[in-house]
Amino acid sequence: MKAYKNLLDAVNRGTLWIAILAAAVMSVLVILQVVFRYAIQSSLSFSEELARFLFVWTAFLGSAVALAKRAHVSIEIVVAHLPRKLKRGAILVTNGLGAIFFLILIVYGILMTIRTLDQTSAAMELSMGFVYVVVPLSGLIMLMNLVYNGYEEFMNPDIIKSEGVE
Amino acid sequence: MMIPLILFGSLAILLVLNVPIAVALGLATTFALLQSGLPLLVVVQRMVTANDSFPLLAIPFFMLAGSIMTYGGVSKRLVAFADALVGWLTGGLGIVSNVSGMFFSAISGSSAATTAAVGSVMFPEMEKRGYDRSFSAAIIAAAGETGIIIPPSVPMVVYGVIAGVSIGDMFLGGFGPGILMGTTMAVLVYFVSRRHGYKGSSFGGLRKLGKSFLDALWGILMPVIILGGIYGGIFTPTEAAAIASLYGVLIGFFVYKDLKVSHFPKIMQSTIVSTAVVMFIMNSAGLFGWLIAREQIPDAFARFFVSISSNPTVFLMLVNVLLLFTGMFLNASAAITILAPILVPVAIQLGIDPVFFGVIVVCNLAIGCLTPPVGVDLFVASTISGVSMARLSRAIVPFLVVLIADLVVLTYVPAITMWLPNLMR
Repeated sequence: MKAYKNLLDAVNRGTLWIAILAAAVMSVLVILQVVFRYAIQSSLSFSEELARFLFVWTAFLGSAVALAKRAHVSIEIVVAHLPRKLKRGAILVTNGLGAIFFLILIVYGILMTIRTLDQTSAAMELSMGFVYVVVPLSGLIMLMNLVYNGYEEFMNPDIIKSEGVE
Repeated sequence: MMIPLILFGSLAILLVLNVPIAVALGLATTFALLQSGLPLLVVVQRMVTANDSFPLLAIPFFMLAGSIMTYGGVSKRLVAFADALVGWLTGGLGIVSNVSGMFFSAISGSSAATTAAVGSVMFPEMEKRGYDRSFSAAIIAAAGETGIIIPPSVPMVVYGVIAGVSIGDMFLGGFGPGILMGTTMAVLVYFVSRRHGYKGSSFGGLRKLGKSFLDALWGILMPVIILGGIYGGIFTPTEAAAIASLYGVLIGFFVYKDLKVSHFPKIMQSTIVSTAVVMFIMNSAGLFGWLIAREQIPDAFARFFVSISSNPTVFLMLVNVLLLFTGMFLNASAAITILAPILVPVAIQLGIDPVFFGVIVVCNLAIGCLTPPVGVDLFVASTISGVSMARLSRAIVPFLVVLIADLVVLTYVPAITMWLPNLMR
């Protein structure tokens, strides 16, 4: 598990930096879009579309980073108050269900990417496959994080508690 | 009939099981899709389509602007101005927390960020001055209340996109309710403080007040730039949010000089994580909402509701009860993405202005940030203060009473919300 955790940390760091890069380019694009319109009096044709696509990448990769940090919102109150044995059972079910969803994102994400490879976007004529491919990619990273989080929760069910100071 | 049952039934079970809200929405829809025989490719397609939206791009930019402003030294200057303005009143520090919360709301689109920014500065001060710890913790939690009501506001962007109404109108509609709620809470703090004998500091003079105002002015100007830009036709809300981030960088580097290049990895990371938390839910909700619309559930709900009562007053009252209950368990953006597609068509059919309705929905869910068991402002305040959730949940009750009274007033006096948007239309 230790080696897996090291690998996971490296993957998460890489994911975060790609997301930061995408978000930074997206911010500069939208600011430039305004600058071009007023200062140079000509509008950029591709900025809005590219910013939207980078937003999709930022949001999906960011979801993976957020999962690693256990930042996603869930209603913990019921499971947090279960007796230990039941809590373990709930942890298995919850993470099993999560794994199913991420597998759907991976499998159907790959299918969707293949299907949209020869569809092109309106402004940049970029293959839509480049947009959809972030779904299976982030699905895989989320699944990897879920495996570790689930293992940690199962070994130490007290992680799941209502937030704030008890 | 089978599909709505699967959709809402499995969603409820998944949520109770502590499945993340975004995953629960996605899975519930998947189960319903399997039943209806539609291809699962739709899951991926609808999630990406929901995300591929220029108006929603305002969300990361408002998060970014708020984060830059916090690191850039804006929050402490807002607190200093609030202190010079109201710190001399009885219960001064408490009222300063309230007023700083309102100021900070004008640069932040989230209520947790507002509570965190105000609380980390003000809680230690109140503790030093001998304020009751539970009372102080409740004050800083309540200071976050206006974070999503006074513009900018992330849930208002979400509502605007889902209901198809102007985000600029939503922002303008937030001013009246935000000021009402902030002020009435300050009055509450004043009376409680008078009973406990919490004295204020002495008035520092007009000179000091003027200086702190000029110092804080750069931050207070942010909504003016955003709304001025939108209504002046200079830029869209999304562009306004990006420009607000640039503005934050400029004043952080060149005016206050508190912002450092080394802050940026942290600023970007917090922006990305908080954006992703909202967007993952939005994307799944896009999928969920698509199936709801396809199954014509909103129409069925509207027909069902109108058959009971076509009285807008009754409808608004029921909506308030429903949302106060929902807000106890769901955060504002999640509740809006799930409920707005069902409620807004009914509101429109009953002749309620969708902007007014949206502001009421947001005010309602802002109260939800302060209600146990799941209230994000309570969690943040509890973490900052070390006061337990159980004690804080009791201490917050007087604030909730005041806010619910405000909500009733807002619901039945639409002018408080609508005078500004109507002025601009």
